[in-house]
Amino acid sequence: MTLLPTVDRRDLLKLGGAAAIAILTPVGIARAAPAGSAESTIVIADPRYYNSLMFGESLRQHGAKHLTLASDRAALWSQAIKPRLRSGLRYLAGLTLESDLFVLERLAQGSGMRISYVGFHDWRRPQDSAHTLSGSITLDPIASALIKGKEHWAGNLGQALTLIKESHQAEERLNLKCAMKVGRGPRFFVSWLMRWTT
Amino acid sequence: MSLPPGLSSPNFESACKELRSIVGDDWVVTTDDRLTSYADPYSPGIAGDYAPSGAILPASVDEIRAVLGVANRYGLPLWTVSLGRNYAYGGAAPCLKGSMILDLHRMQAIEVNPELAYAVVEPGVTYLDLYKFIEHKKYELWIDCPDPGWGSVLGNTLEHGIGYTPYGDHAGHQCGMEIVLADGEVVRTGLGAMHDNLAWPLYKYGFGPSLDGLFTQSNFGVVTKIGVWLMPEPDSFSAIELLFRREEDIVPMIDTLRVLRLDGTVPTATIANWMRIAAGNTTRAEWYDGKGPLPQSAIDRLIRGMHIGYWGMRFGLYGRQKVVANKRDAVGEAFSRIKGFGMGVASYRRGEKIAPEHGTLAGIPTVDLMPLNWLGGAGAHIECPLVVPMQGAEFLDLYKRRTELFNAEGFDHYCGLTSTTPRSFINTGSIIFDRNDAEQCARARALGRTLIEDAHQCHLAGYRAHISEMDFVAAQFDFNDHAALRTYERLKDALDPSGVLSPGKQGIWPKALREAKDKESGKP
Repeated sequence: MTLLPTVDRRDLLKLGGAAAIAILTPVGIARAAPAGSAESTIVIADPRYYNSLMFGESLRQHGAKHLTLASDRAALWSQAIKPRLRSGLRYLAGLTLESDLFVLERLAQGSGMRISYVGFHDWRRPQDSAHTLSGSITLDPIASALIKGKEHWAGNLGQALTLIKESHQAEERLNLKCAMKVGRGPRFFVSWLMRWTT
Repeated sequence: MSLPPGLSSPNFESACKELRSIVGDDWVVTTDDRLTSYADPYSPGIAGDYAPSGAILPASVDEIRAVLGVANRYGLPLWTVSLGRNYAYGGAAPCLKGSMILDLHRMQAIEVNPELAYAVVEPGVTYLDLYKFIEHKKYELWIDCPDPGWGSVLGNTLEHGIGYTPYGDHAGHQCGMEIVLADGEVVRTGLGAMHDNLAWPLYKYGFGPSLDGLFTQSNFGVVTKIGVWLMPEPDSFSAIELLFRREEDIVPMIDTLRVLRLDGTVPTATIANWMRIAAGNTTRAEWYDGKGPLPQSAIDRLIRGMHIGYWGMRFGLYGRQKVVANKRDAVGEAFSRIKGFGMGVASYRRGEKIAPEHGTLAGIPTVDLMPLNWLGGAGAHIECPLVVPMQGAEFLDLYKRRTELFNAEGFDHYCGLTSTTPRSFINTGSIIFDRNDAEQCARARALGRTLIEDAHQCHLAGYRAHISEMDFVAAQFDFNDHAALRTYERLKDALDPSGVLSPGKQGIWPKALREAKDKESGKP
């Protein structure tokens, strides 16, 4: 992966597509935008990790269906997620370990899924955190959420995903560093958003 | 897009047009975005060297025969995959750049005989599919599955894959096979050579030579159907987990296990070192921030913090309740001679819900790739598992040697031993790396090569290998100037004279490509 130079907040706020549509819309707005209604969204949370739970909870509060990451990822996909594709599921989001994104991405591959956004969140160096964001969505709300978030970064990130807009331009990439701490547990998480177009 | 060697773009287009007329437009893939799913997802930085030209997805034996006809006429190399989830070894990616993937995942027929305890499956049937099929029918049968269990039953069996129940030697429990040869001839092995023979999936042999082995880890034909034996659901089952404190405990552990394996007390068993146990539950950075392999002090802290041993061993005991109880006592008594050992037991009666952590011992397929998060980043692994004798002192020497090699390249030593047969282990040594980190990829490749070379010096060999190392591993089998490989090549030339089937698989190349390679390397 090619990392872009570090950007600061002022640069981030300039980013964002002009021609964009809201996707993970808050409940109140969902009626006006049924294609992006929160009922069409599932968020996966890993019960082992506080940050994953906070991310899931923030999306749940905006109406997304909240699912716990089961020890059997294949069963989660085939029993709890895949059947909902027939009843309007359009977005699947999560803040998980990278291996879980890898598994779900491959399980979903044959169903018309596209990855809209992936963010790598890395605390392996003790002095700061590094975040590599990429996707076909406007990334500035996510970057802002991370910069402002501090210990509430995961919840803020989930909140930001409810506000993001789908960009019609080529994939964006951002690399940023933030002075924020991670709690106990893994020092590397991935936030992600999958989208079904059919 | 990569084109097959020696095939012009117009000829390739023309071949694709004919292929579309056989399988339909949707089932010939040549666009880059759809081809990405056939790339090696764990490639250590060399995916471009193994890029396919396209993929074709036939749905029947007749379609495969027609596809082979086109491939032979155009000289189009086909790389056969069932599902292509053989990720540590290249996934769906071909040895020969520009090959077209012959993807058989649309062939998904399952037939189960509950009385005689066998299944007949096509290539697209996953372990999850077979498990669900049996569960849905309420048959009192268990499957045996690898971990993770999302791959093809047929594909894993052909690659000599392993599982964790008494049926863990998958090729050993395969019976009956249907193959389409390169010229389109359909052959059935064993008793299947007789039309409608009633005992085809029951008895491995037929009348004359046994052909099945020629089509496992091979490129002599396209296997379209196999029989696999299933395990009757036992009356009771105990999951046994043993813990051992010290590195050197591996000597009495193995020597004790060997006796219990040979006398039939213990079936398939798995041993894991501290890292394999830790990586399944935690990540490295939680224990150590520094670069390079974990120092001993950090390993000690991790072992204490996680309440694990330096080694763990697990296996299932199966059968009638009294038999299992007697086996448990025998196991406890045998291993209690090792100082500091601990033993955990979880027992189940037939029909009881089995805890997720014991699922693989009961043939319940799951998918969890937690160990790949060990280093953080985009986790991947490659490996070349060795077959090693079940002898403790000899293995400790090998373990120490390999630990030094892993550490010299900056990696922690992930070590597993699985005994699906009573006299040997499959020794997995996963090289876990961040596939987005070019420097780690280079070190992973270097270590992979070093481990193969070192194994040869120890008179050992890998039983599987990543596509990038198939030639190198094949070259290690050097008895009588590689007589075995030369025999494979004679078979290849006889059965697939145009050389269209999976060129390069297990180091077996068709004549034209062998000659081209020899010319390139200046070999007379």
